[in-house]
Amino acid sequence: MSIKKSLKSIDAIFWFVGVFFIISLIFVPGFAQFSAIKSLLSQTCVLMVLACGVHLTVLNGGVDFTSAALLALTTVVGGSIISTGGALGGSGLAIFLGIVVMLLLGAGFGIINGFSVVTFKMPSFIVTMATQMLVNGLAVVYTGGSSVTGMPAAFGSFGNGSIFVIPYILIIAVLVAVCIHILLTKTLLGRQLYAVGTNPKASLISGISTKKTIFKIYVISGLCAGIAGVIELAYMQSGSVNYGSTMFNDIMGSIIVGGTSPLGGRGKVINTVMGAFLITMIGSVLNILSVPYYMITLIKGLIILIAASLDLVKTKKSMAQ
Amino acid sequence: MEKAKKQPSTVGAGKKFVDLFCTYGLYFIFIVLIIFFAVQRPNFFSVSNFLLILKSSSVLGIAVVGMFFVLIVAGIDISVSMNMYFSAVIGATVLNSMELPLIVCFLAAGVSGLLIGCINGFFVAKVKIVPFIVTLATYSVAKGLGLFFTNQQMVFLNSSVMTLANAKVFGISVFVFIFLGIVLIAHFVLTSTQFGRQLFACGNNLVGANKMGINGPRTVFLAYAICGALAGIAGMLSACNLSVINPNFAQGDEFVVISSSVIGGASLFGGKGKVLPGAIIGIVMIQAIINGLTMMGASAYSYTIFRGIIIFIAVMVDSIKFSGEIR
Amino acid sequence: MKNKAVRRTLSILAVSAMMLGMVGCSGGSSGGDDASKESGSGDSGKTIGISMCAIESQMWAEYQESMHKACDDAGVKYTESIAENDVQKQNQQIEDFISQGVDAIIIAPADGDAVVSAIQKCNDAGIPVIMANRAAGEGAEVFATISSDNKEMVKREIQYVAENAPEGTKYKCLELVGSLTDVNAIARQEGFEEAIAEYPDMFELAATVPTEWKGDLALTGVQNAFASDDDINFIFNPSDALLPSIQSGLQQLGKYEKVGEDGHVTLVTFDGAADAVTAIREGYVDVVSVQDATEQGKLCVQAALDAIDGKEASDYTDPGFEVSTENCDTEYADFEGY
Repeated sequence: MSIKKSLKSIDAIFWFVGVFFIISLIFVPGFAQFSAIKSLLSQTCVLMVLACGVHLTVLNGGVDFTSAALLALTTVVGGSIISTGGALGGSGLAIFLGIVVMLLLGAGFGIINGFSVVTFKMPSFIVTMATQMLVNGLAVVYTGGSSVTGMPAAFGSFGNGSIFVIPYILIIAVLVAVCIHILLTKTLLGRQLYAVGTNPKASLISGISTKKTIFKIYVISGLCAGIAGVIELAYMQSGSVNYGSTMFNDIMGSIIVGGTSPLGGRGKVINTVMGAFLITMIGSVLNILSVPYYMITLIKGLIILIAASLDLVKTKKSMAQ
Repeated sequence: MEKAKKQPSTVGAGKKFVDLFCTYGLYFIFIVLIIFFAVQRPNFFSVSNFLLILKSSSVLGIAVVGMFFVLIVAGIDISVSMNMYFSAVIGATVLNSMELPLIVCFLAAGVSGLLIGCINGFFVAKVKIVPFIVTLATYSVAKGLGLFFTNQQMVFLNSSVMTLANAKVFGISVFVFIFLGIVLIAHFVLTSTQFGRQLFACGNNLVGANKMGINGPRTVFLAYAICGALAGIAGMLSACNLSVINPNFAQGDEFVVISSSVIGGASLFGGKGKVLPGAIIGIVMIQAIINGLTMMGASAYSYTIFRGIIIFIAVMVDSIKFSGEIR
Repeated sequence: MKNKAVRRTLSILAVSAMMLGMVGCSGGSSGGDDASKESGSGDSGKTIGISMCAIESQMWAEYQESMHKACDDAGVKYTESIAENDVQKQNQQIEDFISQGVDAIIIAPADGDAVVSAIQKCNDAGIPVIMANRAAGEGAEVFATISSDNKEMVKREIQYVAENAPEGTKYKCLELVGSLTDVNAIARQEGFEEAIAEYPDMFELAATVPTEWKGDLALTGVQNAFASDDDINFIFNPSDALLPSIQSGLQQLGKYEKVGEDGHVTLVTFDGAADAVTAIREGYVDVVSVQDATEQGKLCVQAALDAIDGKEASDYTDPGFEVSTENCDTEYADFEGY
């Protein structure tokens, strides 16, 4: 009974990822090699960290558009500080300072978002949309549209290096996911979040500090975006205003396909992580199979639609009980 | 719980300021900007410039009118930009390959937009998926299809579209008349028909509306369908203006349309929105600012920042007003 | 519960079916799309990966076709991906090429600097890289770069205008600028500004409009620039992809006149597209700099094959040529453009 029960308790997303992975290994040429797997793992990292942050906002029934745009801003600002051509000449201090600034930027815009959602009661949807425009605009004004290059070698080898097949950045990304998981399961904030998501009025009446909780979520999401920026900068070894412009689709895809409901209140971080893997894998595999990029976008769109429909079925069933 | 009371006059004044700001703040900022531009570049205030602003507003303005319908039922449509792209591609194909008159092409684009709108409406109203997710998905699908049909290359429209783009009546571009016409029709539908009343009812309280006997799902479905159709027409019009459809056609325009609607008075929370003059004001304000910035020689990149700030203020105002209404 | 198990099984079946469908679909799609592989005869067993940033102009369409044809002629397979100007996607696509085990990669980067990271990975994998039309930034080894001498070409265009202008002409210029992450756009902008600096009495730069290679930004830029300063009589356009939008704008302003006629706005453009050449023959556009996309495409493939065979590499800079209202019916009477 126990094996059956534990098998049933594994969410669908794990099955999807497993099945997809195995089929790809067998049928897709070139996929079953170290380099391909390593590529896949590296490419997932940025998406994973971003999705974990946005996951928190979705649990609350909201969304965070700014995350993806923060990739652009943090990489160009951080990049200019860390760059060997910059004022600090690519030293250890430069790297440290750069990272700190990037995290502060992420958290800073998170504060703006959180404040607007909580104090002015603006819908997260449009607030984060507006901040996203701001962030994008600032990024372009900062660089005039060109990219930032010249990262010190140490930084670059961190971004692209690995222990056996596990990239360093993956370790960071997994750490972030684990932290968020702990946050959600073991802290008061997490409990409040699940309570708030399902029924904000009830949790308000029962005295939970809704406002503080929601505020913190957006700050954390912004912070995650900052971390994602550091990873992106290390991996691509350049900062560009174009980063993140198409990522939002993938972020929402990871969350929805992972099984988290867009209505809020339900969804484990690990599911979103798996969702991120699946989305990246689908993209990679289709790429290798020479499916054109726009087709991949289309397919991802369809997958989101199907996943959301399935999710609704699940919600209805659980509500009917 | 009793808090220490402040001096009543301070509290009253503070609240009054907030109220005043909410109602007039945005327009005040707008007027300040206009005056600033006019001082820097006297040309800004000329009739020809005004007509230019009006014309460039007309294209997206049509999509804004469509967005009003969706916002009134408390929905959202992110797919409008790719809807414009795909429908423009359809319209252009009809124009180039079948050499049919322009009006047929517009019809084709409108129908194509309508189809996308129907798909949105179906998933939102019948399957009941969150509109944001649905339209995000249709965004990708429409984009993919558009790129597929064009082989990711540019599509040129033959020169007959030039006649439309240049056509003027009393010195005012035909585009403006098309836009105003659509605004008037939408205004009539929203204020004087039963359908219009149903839309507002659904937006204000969907459950209540259903109980009152209104077919909620069908009303919502139609709102998305109308939005899609208008987006299709807007796309075709834009294509005629540019006489070419690039692979990055209409990219990012969904944000402009949504924010113009909100600035124009449509509430994201549903149940509110006057197309006349809201849609016109919303899009004209944004276009005027862009026009002014270009005249000032400001870097094109400052546009995004300005737009972000304006939207932010507009939505902040909208939200404060809305939360005021609950209590 | 039974329901859950049934639903889960169905979902897994659905996903597996979709996947197998995709695998099968890709085999079918390679017949239809231009993103396909499997070209002509004489299988030499080599594959070239082509990573394009976007097909945003007729020049690029010709470039792409030329590369395909060159591969077919050499009996070499190619696999292509188009990144739609998405920098991250292009890097991913290049990494996927490495996984596929291609023998050489031709890259037309969306961002020459951001692509360096991917090129380094190619270096590590021992796969030679050829840059098509746009150079890469520093930090990685590139086998060869095939590009145009953008600056020189623009300078020659300005020279042409300056030398043929009637005595005492003053040009108020509107300068359009392409995407700032495009090395070529920067080179053309610099070329233009340096060129007009050599004739300070004749040229005055009235407005600069960044277009990000987008037609609608070009259109509004033109309209707004003229609204600000009606005396503009010279437009520098860095790519024929933007030409239709500019023509549209000028027509709507009533300023689309032929060379020699009153109110003609001098139009200097770049690339060599068919509609630009036609417009020159009709007299609306003054001069266009032509990049020989056909030749460049061939050379890219040639360089790739040389690299695979271990031969020496050499960069190639296309000097380009100008077609103007003066020589379009004489020297270049046969030239049609892309």
